[in-house]
Amino acid sequence: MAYRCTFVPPHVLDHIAKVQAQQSAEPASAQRSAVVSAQFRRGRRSPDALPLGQDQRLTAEPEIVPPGLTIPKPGTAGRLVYDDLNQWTFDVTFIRGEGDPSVAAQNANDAYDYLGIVRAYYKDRLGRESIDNAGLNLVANVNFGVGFDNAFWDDAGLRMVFGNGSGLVFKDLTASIDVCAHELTHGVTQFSANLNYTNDQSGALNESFSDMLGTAIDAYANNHDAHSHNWLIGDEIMADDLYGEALRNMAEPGTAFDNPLMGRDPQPRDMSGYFEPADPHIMSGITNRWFYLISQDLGLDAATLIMYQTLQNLWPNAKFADAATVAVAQARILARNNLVPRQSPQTVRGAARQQGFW
Amino acid sequence: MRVTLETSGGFTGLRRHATLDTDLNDDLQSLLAGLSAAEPAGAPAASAQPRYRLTVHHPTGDQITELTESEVPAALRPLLTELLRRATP
Repeated sequence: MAYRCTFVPPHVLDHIAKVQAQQSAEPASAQRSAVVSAQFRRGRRSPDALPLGQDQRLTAEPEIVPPGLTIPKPGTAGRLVYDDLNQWTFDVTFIRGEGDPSVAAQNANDAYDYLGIVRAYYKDRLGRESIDNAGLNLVANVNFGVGFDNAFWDDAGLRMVFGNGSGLVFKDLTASIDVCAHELTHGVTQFSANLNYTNDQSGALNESFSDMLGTAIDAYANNHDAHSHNWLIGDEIMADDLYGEALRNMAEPGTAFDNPLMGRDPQPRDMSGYFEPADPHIMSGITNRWFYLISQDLGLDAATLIMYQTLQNLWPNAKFADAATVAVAQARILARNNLVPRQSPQTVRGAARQQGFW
Repeated sequence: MRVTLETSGGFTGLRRHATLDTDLNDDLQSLLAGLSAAEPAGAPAASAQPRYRLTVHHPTGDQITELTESEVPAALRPLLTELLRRATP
């Protein structure tokens, strides 16, 4: 494994990124340096985590292509769906490519359709070309493992992986678009702020940005606005016996579930319940509610645009207060260009103060 | 031998725990020892993948192994599956 030293210390790069993030809508060079520096530090631990050059950003292509199926060209944001046939390995059988007709399995068609909606939202609403903003192809694996009660973004293999669920806690995790939108947004984070996935505020922000974009895309797909959306994450993948429960409640963190199979929702509502170290899924509720409050005043589209711009300008070890500072600066830039309401900076600050981190 | 599991990560992020008293064969013990030595427990996670923390309680002390879903060796899967089947909040 190659070891690399960075000449400029990481904390200096982070500081310069913080200053420059308030000056422009586009990520500054110092922000990109901070991101790449963090990737190299992680690369000392795992070679898979090294930064990927443009020519390395290749998703898996099938060794065997059944007649009539389409392999999209690299860099075209094309979709590839694999059936893992309930094995614990990836990319087992290629079953549907970009533009190919529906297949018999509903979960494979759902994955294909939801990838398309997430791709369209990022492109049409946020001007982003796929996960890496350079047309990375979108790979989904369905039927992974046996009774696998989870879904995830594989940051090394650049693929989305869905389990079928055990049927006791969760059903098939392709059943809701918020799963797909949440996990693909981890990919967007990987290629933008690259927030550390640690048991502190950086990790919580990483989770929270996925919930923010995930719920915005869920609302978009279902024609909901900030007031008609239910602000629940994972409510549509609960097993029948847990109908009515959810994984997270962005409007009122800590109230999503309370049952013998899942335990009780541990998310605090605001900073008065904050502690470290804590799993990123626990403290993400604090900034999830920040986003909810902003959306109630500015609407979902404006709130999402501000948070997307914030994600583009943050850096790996950013804390909640850093996110608030950058979000206010980005809100001012967007308001000046008539892209969000004029009172957006005050709304962003007020919501952060209500949550206890401004 | 007693083995415990803690899960975290992935979309659900649910933290679950399980304990199993079992006879680990020599191959599995060697595999876990190798994984534990290669990846010190407590190192920061770089990934939002599902994460498994396995602890083997030896008379001489605990041996801890942390793995993400894509790092799970096939030989470890039966033990992990049995632990996940027993996992509770």
